[in-house]
Amino acid sequence: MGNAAIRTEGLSKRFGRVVALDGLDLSVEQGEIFGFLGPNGAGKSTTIRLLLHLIRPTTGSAWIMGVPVADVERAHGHLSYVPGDVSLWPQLTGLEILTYLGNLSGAVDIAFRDELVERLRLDPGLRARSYSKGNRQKIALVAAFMTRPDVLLLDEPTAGLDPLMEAEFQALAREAAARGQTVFLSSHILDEVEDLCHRVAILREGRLVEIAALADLRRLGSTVFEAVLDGPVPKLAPLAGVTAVEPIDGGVRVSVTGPPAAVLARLAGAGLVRLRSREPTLEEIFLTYYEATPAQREAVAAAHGSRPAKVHEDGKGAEQ
Amino acid sequence: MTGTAAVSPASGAGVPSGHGRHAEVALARLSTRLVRRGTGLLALAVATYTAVEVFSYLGTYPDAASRARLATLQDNPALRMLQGIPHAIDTPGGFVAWDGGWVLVSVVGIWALLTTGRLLRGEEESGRAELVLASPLRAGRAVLVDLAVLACAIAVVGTAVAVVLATAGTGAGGSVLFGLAVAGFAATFAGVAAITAQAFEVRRRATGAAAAVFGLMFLVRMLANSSDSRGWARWLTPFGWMDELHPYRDPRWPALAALLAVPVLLGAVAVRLRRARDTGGALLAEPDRRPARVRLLGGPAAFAWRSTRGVLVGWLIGVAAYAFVIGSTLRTVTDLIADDPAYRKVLQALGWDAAQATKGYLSIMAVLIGLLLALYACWRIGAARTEEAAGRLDITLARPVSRRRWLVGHLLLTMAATMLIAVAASLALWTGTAIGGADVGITDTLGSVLNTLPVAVLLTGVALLLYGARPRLTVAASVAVAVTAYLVQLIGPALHWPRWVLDASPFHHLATVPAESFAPVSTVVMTGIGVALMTVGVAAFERRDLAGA
Repeated sequence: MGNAAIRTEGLSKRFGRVVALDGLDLSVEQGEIFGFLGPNGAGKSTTIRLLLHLIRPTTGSAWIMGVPVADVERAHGHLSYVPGDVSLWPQLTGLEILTYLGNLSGAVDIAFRDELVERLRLDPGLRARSYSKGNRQKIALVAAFMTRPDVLLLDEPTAGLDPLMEAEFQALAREAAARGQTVFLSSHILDEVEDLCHRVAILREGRLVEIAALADLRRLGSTVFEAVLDGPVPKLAPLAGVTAVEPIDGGVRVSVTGPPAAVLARLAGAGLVRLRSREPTLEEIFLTYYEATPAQREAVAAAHGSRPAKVHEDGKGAEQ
Repeated sequence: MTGTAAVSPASGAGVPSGHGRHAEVALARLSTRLVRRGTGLLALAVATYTAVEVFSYLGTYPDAASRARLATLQDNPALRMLQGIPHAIDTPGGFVAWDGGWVLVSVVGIWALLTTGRLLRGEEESGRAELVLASPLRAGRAVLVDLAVLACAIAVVGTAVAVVLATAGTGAGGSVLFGLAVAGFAATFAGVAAITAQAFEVRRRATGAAAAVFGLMFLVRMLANSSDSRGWARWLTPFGWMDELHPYRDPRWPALAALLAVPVLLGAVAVRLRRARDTGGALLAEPDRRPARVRLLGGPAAFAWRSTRGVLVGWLIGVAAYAFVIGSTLRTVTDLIADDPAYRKVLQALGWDAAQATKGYLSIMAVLIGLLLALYACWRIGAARTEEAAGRLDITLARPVSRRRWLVGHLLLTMAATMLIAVAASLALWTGTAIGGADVGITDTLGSVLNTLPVAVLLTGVALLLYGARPRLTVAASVAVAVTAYLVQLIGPALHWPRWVLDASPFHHLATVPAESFAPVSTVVMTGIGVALMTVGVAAFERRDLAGA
């Protein structure tokens, strides 16, 4: 689509021999809250820094609101950024920093800025050097939201916030999305993404392993059964669709993709006392994608008639 | 960790000494890594400078008769104020200790206070010190370890001086004494910086205060040496102890005792003060809360101006004070030169008469001011690199600000500030000459200082190119280029170095304004090269990745 808020085509970045990002194709719509998941070192910050043109792609291109990211004066007119590690000018007070960053962006709605300061319970009269990590993060969040940008690029924005402030951040993100702003949220905190995001991308060793709406991702993942048995646990691993088996107190926890009939039949034959089934948490989906072998991932995809955006050819991912 | 680090809760009040020892060794290693490169480079530089001093003395004053003439320098008030009291200058060692000693101790002293500020406040300001202090190591102990590392580094530099002097045959005893004194002098200012590092929260302020003490001590020496009746005041300043030492004939032990004992005392005070304060805090802490000052926050250039004002004022005062002193001593120095047959020969070779000698000397002094201007500019380009390395550039450039706008703004500001220092230095130089009675007009001093600006432009270009292409080297390499170029021009012609070596130094292409008329071609060429390097540097900066946090 021409009017995607964020679009990348074959975006890649190498640092020497290390491939930090490998052929990322992404399109994030306006008004979307998009989760960008992956463990440390997966390439999340690299992607965001590429979108900001702070680093240059080895190959590929990216656009913010249809503007090539290299045209920073125009592209950055549409966006705001919260870095993962917020560094501020230690001698300046919070208010001075907000004033400076606001001036760089042009007009700032002072009333809205003060409202954000109030809502995040920030004390802007202190010098930045006395701010904790969480308070530096709040400054960066206020600075990002205060200009009401079309696109918010947030790199693990809640890492230093307490749960109350995290909730406030989520409210701000939802309000922004409701106004039509796009929120691009990188995180390794699954709860946050699960509560907030419409769609997520999962990144692993520089490659996109999955991109889907959360509902689809759940469907894609396995169902988890916890069975209490009064006999010995039968062999379940060889059955079709079983992705994980682990013993629990008095029984077994088994994750199944696809129809669970065979597993249920075997459990029933082994003295089933109680059975609970539940949707997998995002964490479990996440782990499936990180730890599962390529064969398992393909099985997951095949079982649901849809394919992940990119499937690993090898278990290790990016070349060493 | 080894087996001794097995989990065993500390029994009683003390930390098991084995653990503390490990932590001390680890910190000593870390701090050594931080200072070793600078120490090595400085040792090399002072060794070279000392060798050049010795050989140029032997070349200029080969026999007893020529050395006897040097005795007339003994009573020259201007030289006594600037360089100190000459003693035993009919010996190579005594001459070097007097003629080059003040330069040597100044360079080593300033290096010592900068390095100390970096270890004892810079590491804490950046938060890295907290990682170290999380080990079983008390804060006071950590300061002690760092001071020990600094003492070793200073000893290396002092040894380099002593070894060169002894090897050059100036006499072993005097060489050792002088080397010790140089080390003691440097250690004294390391001690001063160790104390200011406890007093101020910000490294810049801590080293600034130590540098101010350094300047003050120099002024006290000038005052003490301005008249014999004030000679007692020499004991108040490390420069005076150097004057009193007489390493090469009849050494005075109290002076050596002062140079060696005072650093220990200052170090002990610093350790004591460190124990009295919190990590990250300071004895003279500024309040964290203050009303917002929103002036000069309108854009990158205004903001850079706001951030640089304090440093600029420091440089303005320092350079202007130096220029004033040079100006006020100009008359006496040139009178002396005119009376010295050896110098008269040099003047004749240049085709100068006595009036031109004054202006020629003015020009030579102005070139040194030109070096300071270039150093200031290189340092300010380094401030751009600091902004990037600290990660603050990311949030600036994530706004609708192009890299070019940011960097060019910073560059123009640097050039303007350099110009400001140049004009201030010219005025101070002229005021000095007026008071000292030299026959020099304000156009002469302005011309002599502004004439050096193309070199500053060229070296700023070098710094900017480095920032664009090899940002880590921005300050280190550009300052090294500037100082080397200056030394080539200072030393090379006298030693008949090959023409291409001399031509490589931009300082070599400066006309000796106001003795000669200004050289438009070399001015245009150097400015042109400087601007070209800046253009390439900005382009390289626009094309490279920013250093990530």
